[in-house]
Amino acid sequence: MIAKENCWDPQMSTELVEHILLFKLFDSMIKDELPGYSSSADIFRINAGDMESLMALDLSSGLEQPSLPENNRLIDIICKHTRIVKYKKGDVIIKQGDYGNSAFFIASGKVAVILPPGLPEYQLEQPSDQKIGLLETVKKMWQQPCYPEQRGLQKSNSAYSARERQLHLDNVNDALKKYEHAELHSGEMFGEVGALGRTARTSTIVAEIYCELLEIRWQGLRDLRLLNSDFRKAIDDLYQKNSLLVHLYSLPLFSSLSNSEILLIAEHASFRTYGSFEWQADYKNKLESNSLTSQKSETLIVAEGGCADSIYLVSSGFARVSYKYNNGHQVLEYLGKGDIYGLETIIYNWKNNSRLHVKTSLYALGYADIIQIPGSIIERMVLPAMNGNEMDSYLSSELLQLFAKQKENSPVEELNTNEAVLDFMSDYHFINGSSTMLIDTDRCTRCDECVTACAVGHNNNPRFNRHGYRYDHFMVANACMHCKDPVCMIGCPTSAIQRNPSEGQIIINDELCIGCSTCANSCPYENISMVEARDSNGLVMRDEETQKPILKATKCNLCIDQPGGPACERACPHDALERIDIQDLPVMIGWMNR
Amino acid sequence: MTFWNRRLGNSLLLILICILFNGLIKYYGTPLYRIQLWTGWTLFSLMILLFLYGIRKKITLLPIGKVSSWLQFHSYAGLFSVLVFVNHISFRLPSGIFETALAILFIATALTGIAGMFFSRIIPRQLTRRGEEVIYERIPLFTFKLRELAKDLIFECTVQTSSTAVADYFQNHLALYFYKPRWSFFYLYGSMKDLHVMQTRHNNFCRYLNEQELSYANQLFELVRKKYDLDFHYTLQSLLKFWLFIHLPLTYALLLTMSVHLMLVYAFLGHLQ
Repeated sequence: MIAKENCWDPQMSTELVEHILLFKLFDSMIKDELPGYSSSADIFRINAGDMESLMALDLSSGLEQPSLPENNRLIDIICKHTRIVKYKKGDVIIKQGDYGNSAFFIASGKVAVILPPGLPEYQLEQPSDQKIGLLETVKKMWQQPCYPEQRGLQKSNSAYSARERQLHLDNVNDALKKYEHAELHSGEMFGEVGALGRTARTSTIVAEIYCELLEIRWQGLRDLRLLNSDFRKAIDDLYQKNSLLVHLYSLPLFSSLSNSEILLIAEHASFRTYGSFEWQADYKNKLESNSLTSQKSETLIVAEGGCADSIYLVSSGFARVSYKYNNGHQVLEYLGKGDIYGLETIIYNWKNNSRLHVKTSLYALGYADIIQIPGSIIERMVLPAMNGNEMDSYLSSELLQLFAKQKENSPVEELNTNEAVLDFMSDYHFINGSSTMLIDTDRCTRCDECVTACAVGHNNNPRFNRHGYRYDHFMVANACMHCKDPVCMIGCPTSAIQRNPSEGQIIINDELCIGCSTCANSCPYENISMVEARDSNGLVMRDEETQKPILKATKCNLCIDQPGGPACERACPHDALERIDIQDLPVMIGWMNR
Repeated sequence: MTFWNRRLGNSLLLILICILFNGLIKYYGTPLYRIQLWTGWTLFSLMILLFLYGIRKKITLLPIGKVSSWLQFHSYAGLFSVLVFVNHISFRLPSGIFETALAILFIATALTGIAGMFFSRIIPRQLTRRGEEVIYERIPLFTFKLRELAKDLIFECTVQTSSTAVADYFQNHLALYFYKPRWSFFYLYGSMKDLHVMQTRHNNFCRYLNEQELSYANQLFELVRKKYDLDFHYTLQSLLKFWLFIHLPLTYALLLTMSVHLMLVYAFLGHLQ
């Protein structure tokens, strides 16, 4: 075991999870209603007969939230959204950087959380997603179905079942001796940050001994939060605390600090969520009322002209930095996970012994999880350790210009950046996209080679529309952007829509999709289409009972199974189409100014 | 890399290759080396490579480079092939029906290719700056919708004003205009003559309308403008799509004729020796 000073304090998370009491929550419900099952751990070994009687019980009676749907009883949640998973010693339960939709409770056993920077990549080499081979690709091109949306032609995409491929560390004891880690034991929970935040896993977690875990899909966490306020508070506290710690550890700004110093910062930091976690409904309303460009309805985090006394870390979601320009607000930049706001003013004041106020505003775009750290802590613990070059790297030329103007007390003039593009991208929340399809309509000859290529890759069904909002001669086409904050996943009852664990694309498992349209309705950008499935004769498949057509949600999957990546991008003869991470401003602006 | 840099780099490379090629032709350009055979084979190989671009476009899924890179090669290799061609025919007009036909096919293919390059650079900008973005295949549908809107407006106008003036005007001057998408040369060079004529006619007509009729007539003219933009897109997008229908058959014909030419050359090569 490593020295406590040098690692993430396991005691801290242990203390936290003791307050979660999911097991106790189960216990209190089960003991009264189901004699013979003394503890919640028994629920994992329940037999079929008892399961039936358990199903018949209304365990949520007496709980708050009377408006919950009938099938949202505890046992329903357990049956629908949880499963027991067993791991042998050395099995990798969660891999750092992967995307997952589940949190885990440890029913028995012990797991090790490998702390950042974590295991080297070669130890976690995973068989790559089974992209189809060249011969199969050629075969696919020649064997296009005659009818649109035919089903039952091919086996499901192996990439969808990537989570079933188990990664194993043979020399787990050696690895644990070598790398910093924390231990979690029976009754503790992990994985909630990635599951609730719709973000990548922040640490690798390995089974130290044989483990039995209760895997809860994030839909289960959501429903349990609704079911019980104690659980909700506990899980939210845990999420905030762990998210805060994970975030602080991952920031280069704090890389030179010791473990105890980071914990001290964590003590002084506060975690707050701005805006609504399910912001898409508000977005759609604004779109319909044509008020997207209005900043009034956005949640203010920091007001322009306020005292520069804290720094703000974006833990998840998005925020926009803007300044007043005449009667409106001009966007200066937008911030995403890992970005810091306010540090430059603190640095500037500290370096120049001045007392400049905040010259810009910070608004939550949709929603943003923000960690606020007092400036005095930064001045005491971080700035003295920074050299001049490091400090200068945080002072952008635009901000220096703003500071200079503020000192001169003169009005701010228009800055020489691509503000209008930023305005457009943030107004429409396109900054959410990690693979947004941008089309330069000044080069696009409307040949639709992109659409054809897309159709060829998806059994003759194009998965996007060459149509969308336009800024100048750049169009954001109606193609799935593979959002960093994929709100389409929020309501899916079957987890059919999920992140590809290894690369993070948002994909739909056609076999799991029940055609409820929740994802299509949730997608703020209308990039998911509901289609009627057809059989091999081209007839619309119908539900046996209702005789209604069977619907399936479809969207761009970024040609995840193709050997060459997105076919649309490769098929464009005129370099008019590109899949771009909108947050990567240099790349996007560079592409626009070719 | 900016487009300008790419263009500059590719152009310099092309110029270098052209200079080298000309140097080789001059150095080996004696009957002893049968230079026509070498230029002929170079030209034929180039034609095959140029033809491969069309095949690459069909096999979209294979990871064999972006189509845009292939098009860059296609464009510059096409320009180089013109130089090889004029060297091959020794800067003289071909004699004989077959050779003339072959030369005409080559020139026509090259010209349509250059025209295609020109269209693909000029037209998209015009499309971006006029009207809404519209998918070509949906233009007939939008035309139909506009026609129905115009008809509804005319019916309403007739009922509300108890006058057939606007309806008559529509029937006499606009019914055909709204009937289907129109292809017009005026759009190609940015002229708005048609619209100007209709605007003048509309202004003249408006002098004889009362306020209520005028309101309907103006609404009708808004639809005329929309139809005009739709026709603009129809014409330019048609051009972008259909120049290929000239370039491609010419390419196939050229390849076929070249193959026959090659066979004839080898059939009579011994005799020439």
